Amino acid sequence: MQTTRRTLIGTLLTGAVAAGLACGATLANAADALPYGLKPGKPYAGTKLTYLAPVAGQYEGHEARVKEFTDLTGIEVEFEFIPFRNLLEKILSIKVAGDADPDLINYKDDWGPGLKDLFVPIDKMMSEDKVTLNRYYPAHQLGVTYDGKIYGLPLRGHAQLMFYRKDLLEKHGLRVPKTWAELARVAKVVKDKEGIGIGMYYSPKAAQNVAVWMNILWSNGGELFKGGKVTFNSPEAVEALKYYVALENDLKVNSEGAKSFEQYDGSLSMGAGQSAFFMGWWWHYGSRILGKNTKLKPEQVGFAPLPAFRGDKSTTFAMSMPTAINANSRKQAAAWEFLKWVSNPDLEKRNVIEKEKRNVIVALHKKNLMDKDVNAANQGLQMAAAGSLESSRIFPQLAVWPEVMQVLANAISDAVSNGADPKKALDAAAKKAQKLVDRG
Amino acid sequence: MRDRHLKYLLTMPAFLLVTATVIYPLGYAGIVSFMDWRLSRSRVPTDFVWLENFSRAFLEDPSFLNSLGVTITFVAGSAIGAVVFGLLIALLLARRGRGYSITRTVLVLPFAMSPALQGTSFRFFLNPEFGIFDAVLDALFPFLSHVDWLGSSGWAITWLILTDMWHWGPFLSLMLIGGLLSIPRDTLEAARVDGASAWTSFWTITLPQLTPVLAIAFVLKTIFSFKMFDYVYLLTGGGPGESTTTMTYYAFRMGFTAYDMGYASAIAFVLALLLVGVSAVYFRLLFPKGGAA
Repeated sequence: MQTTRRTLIGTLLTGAVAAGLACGATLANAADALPYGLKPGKPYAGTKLTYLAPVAGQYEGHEARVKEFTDLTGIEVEFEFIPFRNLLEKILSIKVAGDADPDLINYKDDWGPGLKDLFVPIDKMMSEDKVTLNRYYPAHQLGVTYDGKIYGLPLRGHAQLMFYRKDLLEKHGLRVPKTWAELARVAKVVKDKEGIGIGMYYSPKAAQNVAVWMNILWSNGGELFKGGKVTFNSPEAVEALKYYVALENDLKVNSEGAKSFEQYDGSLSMGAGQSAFFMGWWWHYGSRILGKNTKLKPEQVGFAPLPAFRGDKSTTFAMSMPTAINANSRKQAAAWEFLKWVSNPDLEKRNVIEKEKRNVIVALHKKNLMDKDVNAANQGLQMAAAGSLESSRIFPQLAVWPEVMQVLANAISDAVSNGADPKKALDAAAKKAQKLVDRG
Repeated sequence: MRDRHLKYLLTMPAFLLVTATVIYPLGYAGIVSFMDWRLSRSRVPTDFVWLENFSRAFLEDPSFLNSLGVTITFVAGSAIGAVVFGLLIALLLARRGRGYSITRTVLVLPFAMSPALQGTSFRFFLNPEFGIFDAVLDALFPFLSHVDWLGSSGWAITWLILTDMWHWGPFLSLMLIGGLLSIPRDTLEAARVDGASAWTSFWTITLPQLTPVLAIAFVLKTIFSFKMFDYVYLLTGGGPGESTTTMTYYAFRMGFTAYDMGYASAIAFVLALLLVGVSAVYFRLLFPKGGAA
């Protein structure tokens, strides 16, 4: 009996000690656990990473907060900023040289198919750390996936929106247009009464005219490619180009200079009070339309999804700028730690809410786009972008796409500026593009 | 003996520098122009394709032939334009005096400015909404008020030429001022005493004596015009359509947009051959066999 009691007391004491130890260990682990799936214990402390990114407020926001990452992991990150226009040349020079630096590279999604052997597929790392693409809209998921592998995480991305002068539409009792035909009618009234039209752009420079035409094409039921064949000279495509050209040459609803304007000229024109409408990437809202040197106030500017061409449903074009890990980097594990941190939704949310130093509007996580605080800080822009992203598509994922796009941009510009017949211009472009596609 | 070795030793740094920065890249581009090198497939050249890149350019690619035509148009316009513009400035300023010296010094400024800055500035100057050139031209020529200067092919190439003339004209004028000031004054004074008009003096005395300097200025400008890239990249992007796509810009596009380095090298090499041809003509004209320049 005594033995039994002693045994029982011993067992209880042992259990209590074991439970105490287990509890202590759990608490210690909890204290060590890091957010965003970062590895505890700072296994890469002392590593210095380099990161190539374009000049944009969003990345400057990341750089401003990178000390938080260093405190968590002991990894230091040096940002190298380069103007967006020179980014592709820089990346190509890194590829040719086989450089191990930079460890991380931010790029535009349609360059991906041509650059993918410079990047490390990150599927395995993502599944090990339970990072998924489900947090992004389908267009942004597609933008980082080539041949069934994931090559980066989208850090910057744009939805296309139509910006309009809310005050002028109200003044003349006009409704926000939902179709291109309505837009032409409303823009004509505004132009006749106020002397300012649509801040449209047709310059082949940077091929931004292609994105506008593509929205009309898709909304008209046309396709760029079908089964490896170029189809952007189909009747739907020709009709879309005829309409895009007519806005300038026949309907005359654009502001002055559209033939030579690039996208940023259009938004500058609106910001300067010289245009009543602008269609383009949403980032123009924060810096070009409502930037510190512009004439407009937030209450004067409204935004809506791009108009539809057929019916009432528009299909807009979306793009993203993923960050990938350099395949030649000798610090890939540490680079993955940074990628997990820099793509976290909390950082993104802070970047678009904290407006003291920079006006960043770009968010990609679904939950941030629908977030109350995010939308309150940005006049509801993200909610509108979410609506646009629901039905967005991306550029075709072909290595030759950048040159095909330039060929198309030249054809569009030729039709509007030089009076080239839209059908003949698209036929010639399609012939050149098919050669490029066949060549591979 | 030692002197013979010393001269090679002294020229060695320059020789190595030129080899590293000119001969090696040129030779490498030459080799690559005979190879298939698509950056989307490989970071190094792959197959030797003999003359395929060159035959593709001349036989299958209308855009290349267009770029050749645009380049020749631009070279003719800008070389003639800049030399004539430079000559006009030189005739105005080829006088001795403090005011003229200061003006000549100031004239170097457009040439000293970065073409990137000039290209960007001219794009703003020509903006139909707030461009200063556009506003001035609209005021002077109201019938041109609806012209989108960079939005029509004719005007776009014209403005490329004018921008280049603005950059080069003042520099060429300095060369020509030197030539004008070296013409013996007694010849001109004798002509004036004989009753020759200013035009006759210029046509029969000044111009013939200035011809060697004009020839150097013209050939120099021609060579630089063949390489035009900056203003095309910044002002027009090669458009409208492909109406301002020069060979250098097209080679750039093939390399960095189409990722086709082999083809881009072939285009660049055709341009290099054209330049060699122009240089040969230049040397033949300036340094004829058996005679002084």
